[in-house]
Amino acid sequence: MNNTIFDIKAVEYSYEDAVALAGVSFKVDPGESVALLGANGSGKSTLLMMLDGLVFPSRGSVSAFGEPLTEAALGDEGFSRAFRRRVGFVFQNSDAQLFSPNVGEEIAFGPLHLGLSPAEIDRRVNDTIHILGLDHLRDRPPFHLSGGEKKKVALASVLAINPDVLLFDEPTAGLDPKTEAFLLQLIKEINHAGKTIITATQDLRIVPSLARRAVVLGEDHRVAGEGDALAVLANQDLLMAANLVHHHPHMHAGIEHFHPHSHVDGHDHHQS
Amino acid sequence: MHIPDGYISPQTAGGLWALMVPVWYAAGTKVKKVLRARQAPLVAIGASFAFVIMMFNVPVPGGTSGHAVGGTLIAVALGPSAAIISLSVALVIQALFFGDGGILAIGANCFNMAFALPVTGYLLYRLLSAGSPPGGWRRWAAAGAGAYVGINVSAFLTAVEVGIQPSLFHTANGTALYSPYGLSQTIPAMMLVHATVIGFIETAVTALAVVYLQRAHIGLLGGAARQAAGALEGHFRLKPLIIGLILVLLFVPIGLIATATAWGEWSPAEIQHQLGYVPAGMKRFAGFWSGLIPHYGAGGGFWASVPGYLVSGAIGVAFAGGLTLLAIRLLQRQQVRSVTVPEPGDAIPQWMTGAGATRCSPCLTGRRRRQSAIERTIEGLAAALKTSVFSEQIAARPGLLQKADPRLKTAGLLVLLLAAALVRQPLLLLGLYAVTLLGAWTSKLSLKFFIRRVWLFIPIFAGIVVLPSIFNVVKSGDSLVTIWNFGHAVKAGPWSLGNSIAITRQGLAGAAILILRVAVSVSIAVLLTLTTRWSDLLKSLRIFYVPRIFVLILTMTYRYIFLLLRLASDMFTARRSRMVGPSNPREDRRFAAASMGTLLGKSHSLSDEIYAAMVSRGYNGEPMTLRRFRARTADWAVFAAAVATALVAWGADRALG
Ligand SMILES: Nc1ncnc2c1ncn2[C@@H]1O[C@H](COP(=O)(O)OP(=O)(O)OP(=O)(O)O)[C@@H](O)[C@H]1O
Ligand SMILES: [Mg+2]
Repeated sequence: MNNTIFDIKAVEYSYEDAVALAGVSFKVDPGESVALLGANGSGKSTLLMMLDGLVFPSRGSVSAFGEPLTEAALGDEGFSRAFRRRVGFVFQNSDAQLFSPNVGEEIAFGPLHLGLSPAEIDRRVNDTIHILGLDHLRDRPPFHLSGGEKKKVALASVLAINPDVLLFDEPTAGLDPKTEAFLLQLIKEINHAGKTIITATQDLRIVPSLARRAVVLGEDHRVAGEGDALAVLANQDLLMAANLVHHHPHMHAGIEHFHPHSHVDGHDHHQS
Repeated sequence: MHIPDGYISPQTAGGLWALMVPVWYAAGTKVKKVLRARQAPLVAIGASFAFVIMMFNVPVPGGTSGHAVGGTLIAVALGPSAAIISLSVALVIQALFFGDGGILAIGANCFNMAFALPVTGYLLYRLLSAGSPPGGWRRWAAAGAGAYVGINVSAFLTAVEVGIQPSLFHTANGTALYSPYGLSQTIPAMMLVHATVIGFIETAVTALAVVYLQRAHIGLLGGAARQAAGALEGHFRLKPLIIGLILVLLFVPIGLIATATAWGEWSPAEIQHQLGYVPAGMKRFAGFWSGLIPHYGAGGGFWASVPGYLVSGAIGVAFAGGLTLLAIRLLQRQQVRSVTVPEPGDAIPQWMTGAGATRCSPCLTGRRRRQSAIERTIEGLAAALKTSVFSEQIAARPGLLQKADPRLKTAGLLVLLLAAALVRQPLLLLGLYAVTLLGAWTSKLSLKFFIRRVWLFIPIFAGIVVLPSIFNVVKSGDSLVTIWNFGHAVKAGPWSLGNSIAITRQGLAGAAILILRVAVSVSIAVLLTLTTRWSDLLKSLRIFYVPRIFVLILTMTYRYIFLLLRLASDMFTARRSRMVGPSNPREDRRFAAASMGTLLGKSHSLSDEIYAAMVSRGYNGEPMTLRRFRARTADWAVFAAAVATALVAWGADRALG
């Protein structure tokens, strides 16, 4: 019995006109929380799509729960149902994720298609709507919602499946500070409850509360570095190489100067 | 080109429904087989694209604007089967939610615009572009030519369907029960606009959008992304294509001949005089047709217009080809300027941080700008968005019909709609109208609003359209009120004006019936759409054995229409915000075509993502729906009331003769 959740070996993937992944390897163990860091276009979203069995590597291999994750395997009714129940994915683009006529049905879509009983579907929909504070939106069509509301509905639609592994693509983008704090707390709690969390983000600020481990994708579409989240955040050279931090002009006592700035937390101005 | 309810008889409408069912079935099977589970979002996106494209205003020389259907473009991009489904879904949504085209007439409208149009357009495109590379000039030229022919074939069919009404459906004394105009009037009217104006819009838009696709989304036209989008195309072989095309091309003259004999006023000798020969089929059928269809009415302008039509068609094709050729040459000469994106750390260019050139930035000049096609488009898009929000609000009110089970309500209202189409007595139609008012009242709709909403558009329009037909000059009949007596027969060109100008009994009664029928039909449709949440309405289609996959596509289409509407609206608004001074129609045209291409490209990548999101949450090609409807006694009572009303109206109509 293999205990690893995902095992990715040297995967490569290209779109028609762009390279997205050029030899990426890493492993995810059960109960881990991993942050996937990288600049725009470094391939984070593509990698998450691959972990969710939506695109398949042109080279290299992906295995999930000890089984190879291939198009053929997902063509199998039983495997795909089990896999989809265990892995949930919140897309970066909420508009793509919301396709049902109203919020209630959007949230019910996953449980319904994964074969849950009507009573169980009802319970899950009610509960997720409740914890995310979406009660007043239940009968609204998703396209009239604000950007942040859409994001919440997208989250709810995945949480209702109650998967073991959750893939988040930029989950906090567009959320107000209160909702963001709530989401981070929620992610922490479900992680404590034993669920595996993989989050792609460029917002270094939230990494410490999101993940124990961080994997950095470089602009060359390879893993530029990985390790303990706090250690990665402290490694300015690595972050600089991956284009995740920038020089930031600061004014101190009328003197302007530059220094690397990563928005992680406050920095000591006396040393800079 | 959308035929509203009331213009054609339920027999015609039903016949075309019956024709479309196997077409939908075949197209659906093909789409399903070739694209497997991927079809739903793709087709839905195609449909919403079709819907939105019909809202783009394109400036026409002379200051007005018209809109394209985009059917050929969709067929080129998605393949003909997916185009049939996409366009049908778009038309269904237009009829159900925006009152564009009738509900009973959906079959007819789909036959014309969702079947004949894309299939002819596509066949011609395939034929003319066979063997040329996806990026070659023959692609866009062929698409443009296909678009011109496609939309004209579709217009012609519409004219025929409407034009056969008075000769087939009238009372004993000659009162028209549906549209009062014969083929001699509908064909020239429709063909004139489509061969000269709308055909060119469709051509220009299609060709320009294909050029855009060649530059930005070549995958949609062949090559790498074929499996995703155009896989349907690969299954077409050239030979059946050519045969099909020849058949279609033959169809037009055959149609003309058949309708002419149907008109029954022209002896073969006269046709020989006009055409120089007598078609063999016509000789055989001449007696048959004139026996079948009693001839009345003034007519006469028809054959005179045939050569005109054929000539204008030929000139049109040549002209459209030349025009697009020119436009595209001009377009291609413009160099694609490369844009350098400043690297983070690059110095921000001076001009960006310096002051702008104008001294008084927003300042009044006292000159008013003319409203451009872009502004009209924005208004249309915004109105569509607003209508939907507003309808949803009304659907949430606690009225009688809002509370009724959507399936029974839809069924009941459809029965009423059918009754309205069958009844021939103006008084009974008035009674049915009263029933719809009652329905509006019990559903907490403001009667003033309801009446205004219904009458503002279609019935008044029908009135204007039908007005000329009450005079004996246009349609003969027993004169009721004589307006002018010449005292002797007057001739004007090919038309004989007779001895006097008068309003005829048949004309007046026919006009009254048409206007009332249209008003009742529109009222019923408005009642249905205003009191039902669209999600419920779509789901209730399931009881009419509409396959699940269609309902799913409809649902998603409706949802994506709003996404695209917003996208389009943003694009046009962004464009307007960068516009200085009066807008340039040529620029506007180019912009409209380019934004259509952009929208199609965006739609396509979006549909990929939606599909991924659906798969991620367990969708495996078999859509499931939550069944939450529960019909109570009260719902059955509403249904029974509707059926009873329909039966009473119909029975009374038969009893009165
Ligand atoms: N559908 C697509 N078609 C073509 N190219 C694509 C597509 N999606 C992504 N790409 C390209 O692949 C590369 C990786 O994209 P990806 O979306 O995985 O990056 P990302 O790290 O998620 O970026 P961001 O932080 O902006 O979300 C980019 O160069 C992008 O342009
Ligand atoms: Mg991304």
